[in-house]
Amino acid sequence: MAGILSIPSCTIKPGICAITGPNGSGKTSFLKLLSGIIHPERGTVIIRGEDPDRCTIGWVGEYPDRNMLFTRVYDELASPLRFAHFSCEEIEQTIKTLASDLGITHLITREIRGLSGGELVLVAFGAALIAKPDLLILDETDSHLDDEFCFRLDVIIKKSNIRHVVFSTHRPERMATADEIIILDEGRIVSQISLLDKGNREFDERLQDPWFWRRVYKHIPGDS
Amino acid sequence: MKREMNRVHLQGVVKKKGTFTLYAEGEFFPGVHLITGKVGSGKTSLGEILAGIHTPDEGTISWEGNMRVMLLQDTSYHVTTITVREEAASWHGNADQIISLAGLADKKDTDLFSLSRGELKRLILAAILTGKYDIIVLDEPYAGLDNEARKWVNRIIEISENQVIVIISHDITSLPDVQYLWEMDEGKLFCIGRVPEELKNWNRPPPLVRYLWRNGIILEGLARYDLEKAVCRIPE
Repeated sequence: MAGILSIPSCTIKPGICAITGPNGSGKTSFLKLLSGIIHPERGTVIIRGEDPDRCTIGWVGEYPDRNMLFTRVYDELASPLRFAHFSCEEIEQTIKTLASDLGITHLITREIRGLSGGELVLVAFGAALIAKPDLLILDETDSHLDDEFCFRLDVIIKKSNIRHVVFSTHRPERMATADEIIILDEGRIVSQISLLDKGNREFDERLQDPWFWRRVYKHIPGDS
Repeated sequence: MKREMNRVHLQGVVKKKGTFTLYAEGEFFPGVHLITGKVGSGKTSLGEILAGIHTPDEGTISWEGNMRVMLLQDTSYHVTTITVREEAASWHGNADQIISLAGLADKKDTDLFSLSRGELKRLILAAILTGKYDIIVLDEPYAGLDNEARKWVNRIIEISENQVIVIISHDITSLPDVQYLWEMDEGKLFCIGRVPEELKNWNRPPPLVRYLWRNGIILEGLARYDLEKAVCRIPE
């Protein structure tokens, strides 16, 4: 495995949490542990009193189409509910509402093949959100997306009311959207910073400072 | 000892893909070019045309000069072997140099797919940037790279000579010294012009640039240190 993690204890509050750290520091491994894709050799991961295996988890990666199972957008969106034995009527209704929230109603009859990069991300979000996950993971999903597209996703995430959203990123401007930041290095948590109130933490460079980016985005709305 | 100047020349290029149509025209001279644009604006398709992977439906593209062309795509597309050592040896150039540049000297026998995303990216970038290509198109070179690795990429780019280097990125806070700015907008390529002189003509500048302008700050370039300098001049 790429990273070996050692985390004596860590509590992530409900809300949006950003994970960052150098290449190979264990970000993806950490996300896999949270979501139950891998299990710790020692210790436990608990989400709201439950083992991750018993929770509903949504996952969107760097290349969302690589995790897609079906050839049609509708089937991809429906899959989490079909696997959970929901009725066809219920599934259809849920997809309708979700697609409209995501602005992808025009895509639901399309084939996955032929969608643009941005459309794929939205469909992947749809498939991750449709089962109302306890935890939504975004593993460097932002790395191919422009600022305005990210703003659109931020709105979707805020509206979805998911209890826990955890995303990994290398971009300080993206961390500005989180409630807290966890910094990993060599498999250890070296810092956990709350962004709910400013405190007096100093950043070496202004472009590294999430508070600076909050200022930029406050004055410059998403759409030009 | 005059070397012919490398240059890529696009004339009336049209490429159709489903309902999407790409139009591109322009000349890419030696130096560092940045192509920005929104998701779905056609940046990656243009990169594929510049590298000769796709041929235009209409118009022509010509590569003048030495014409050794390389395109950085998603790194897993580049993988042809199993271990770090084998992969480095499969490229033009010195395998040991590639491995040590990528900082993977202690992972020579590691399976490429058990490297982290950033480690694999460093390996492929080291191979491309030391491969003496005349035209290098880097599609999202910074995706998946941490701060240190971004600086490392830029140091290599900045010492290149007589090469046409095209960086395709929406991430403008990690750039090296860029000489020419281009923008893709709904499938159409626009030449914004020389940096920093023509930056003011940028049609869809990212939020940070708009914020700087609003504060009356003129950018001296798009390199990371230019941006750092610019943001320090913003009044508190």
